[in-house]
Amino acid sequence: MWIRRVPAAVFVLAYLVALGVGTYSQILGDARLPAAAGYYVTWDMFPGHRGTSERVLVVGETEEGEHVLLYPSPRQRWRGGLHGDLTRLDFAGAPLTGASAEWLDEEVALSVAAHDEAWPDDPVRHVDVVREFWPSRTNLTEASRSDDLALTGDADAPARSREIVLSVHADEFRSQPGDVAGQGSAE
Amino acid sequence: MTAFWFAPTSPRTLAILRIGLAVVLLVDVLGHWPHVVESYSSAGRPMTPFASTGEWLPVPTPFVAVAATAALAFGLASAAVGFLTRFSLLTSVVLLTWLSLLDFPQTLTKYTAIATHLLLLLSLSGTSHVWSVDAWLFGGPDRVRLASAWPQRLMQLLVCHVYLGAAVTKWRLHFATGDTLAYSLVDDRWAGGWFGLDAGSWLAADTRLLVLASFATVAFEFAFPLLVWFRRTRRPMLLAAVLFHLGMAGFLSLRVFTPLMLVGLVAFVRERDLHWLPTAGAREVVPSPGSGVRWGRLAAAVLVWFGLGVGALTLGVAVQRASDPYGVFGNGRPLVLERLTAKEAEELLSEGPVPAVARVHRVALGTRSNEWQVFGDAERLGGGDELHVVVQFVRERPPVNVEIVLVDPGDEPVEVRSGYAPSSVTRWRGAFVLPRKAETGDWSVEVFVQGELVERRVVRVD
Repeated sequence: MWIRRVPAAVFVLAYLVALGVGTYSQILGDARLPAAAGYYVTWDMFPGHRGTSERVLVVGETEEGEHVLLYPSPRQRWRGGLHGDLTRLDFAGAPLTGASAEWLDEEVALSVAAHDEAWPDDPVRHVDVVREFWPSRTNLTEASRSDDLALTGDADAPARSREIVLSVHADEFRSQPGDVAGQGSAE
Repeated sequence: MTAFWFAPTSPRTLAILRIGLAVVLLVDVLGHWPHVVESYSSAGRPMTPFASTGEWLPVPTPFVAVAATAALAFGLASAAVGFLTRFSLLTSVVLLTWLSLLDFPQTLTKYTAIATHLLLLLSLSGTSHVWSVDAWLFGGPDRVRLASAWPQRLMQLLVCHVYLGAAVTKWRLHFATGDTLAYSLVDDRWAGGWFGLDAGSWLAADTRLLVLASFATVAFEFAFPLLVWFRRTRRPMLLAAVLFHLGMAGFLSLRVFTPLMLVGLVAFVRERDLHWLPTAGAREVVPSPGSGVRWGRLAAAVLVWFGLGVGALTLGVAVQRASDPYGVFGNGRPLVLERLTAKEAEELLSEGPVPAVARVHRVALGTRSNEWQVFGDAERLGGGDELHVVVQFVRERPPVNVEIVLVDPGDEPVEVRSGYAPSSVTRWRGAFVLPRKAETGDWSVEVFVQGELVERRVVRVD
């Protein structure tokens, strides 16, 4: 019997050490583990929401002055959120920084290429990356509190503000894939 | 200590956990099914969460992504019925880890991480010793093999670790002010609850309830890991945990997090809690190594398992090919970019200053205040009463100027308070004292941010 317990005991010990390192990281805020491993042993479920929601849209203008929505494109069919208008990128936290910006950059490049292929006589000339943001239901005063709960679908969509974080010639997305979208300044 | 970890225990708790976990995850996987190509395949360009995983993680083609998701669904289904249980669970661990690392916005969530732990620990346990096809094939109708306690102990510790980690996080975020909970309740990504009701807004509207709920949450999450181990407090803590998760599901849209945690709590269920379940007169026996392996049946089971698995994969791929929503299998319509009308384009490209109201989360009036909220009914006041105003801002905003104006029933400004709110502060406070012989009628408080009127609240003076 004891010989079966040795590997079990080793596993138990290793598992407890992993959980212990996770606890240490969380209490002291000291990320000792690689990010991927740390994700599986830390439980920071409230990453700090800001009270503001946002989404990213990319609009292309063609040589003939037509406008096409380059992002989200039909390649992004998944939608989520209270109003059903957020893409996976919008769920990614800071969508216009780091890896997310590179991801968006390549998606826009694919959309530009797809458009150019479909309409070779009217290619995309200019690209605008738009950050649309809105407060998450402002001023929830007790006076505004209803005795009857509203259905989420009935919730009034708040007024949205927009900021063009990048406005460039479409060739930027044709010639040099990279962190183009991320060059813009987010608020 | 040896008994704590290695005592033989009834596998029925583990079996309930296995069935529940597999069913919950199967529902979640089927929910992802329409978007498999987008989330996990090279055609949709997965979003990997960590730079390190992006370097070595293989990104599958649409065909492989669909096949892998179908295999995961099959693995979970076979784990639920306990057919080649250990292999099914390990298959599920590998595929769930792989697919979730390909899609961090939607699939890689903390509940996926918890589920991965539970699947792995279950695969090392004796969960298949009862209520499973394996027990029927390889056990005996008149006996239930006991299981070693350590996988279940680790699951218990995992659940405690989750609560402790969540509590520590909230503690570090000054969760007890209620702000983090409020912002979460109204966040467009997670808002919503039971039956599509926007209960989160209802709770977020009451700052006192928010603070009480926040304190209760942190208190529960610190208390559970300590008290669930004692005989007298185990059941109350489990009941509190069930209510906690059902309540959370009522206020936030957290997908399968609630059922997953409810399943995880089963790890604390003891055999004597299950006396009402049928035992079929089975005799509990301690398994001895190497005995009772029926090699012929095992080989046949493996063949059947693989046959069913191939069938599931084939069916899954056929279904995706037939619908082909992303046009990657040659059966769908070509993907055409959406053309915008001139009006739509003009609206999307219209930049403008951010309205001041978008900087403000809440304006609260009361008759007294502390450093972050007001108390007392400010809707009806008398001469000489104090009127406190707290303006709460959204996070990540530029510095702003704030001004509050007390206006009498004749619409004449009586008093003004103004100040500067740097971006580091969440609130700005101001207060008035109504004149002793204040004119009766509807007074008001006007709140200006950056010179823009963002709120006008009426105060009745009797």
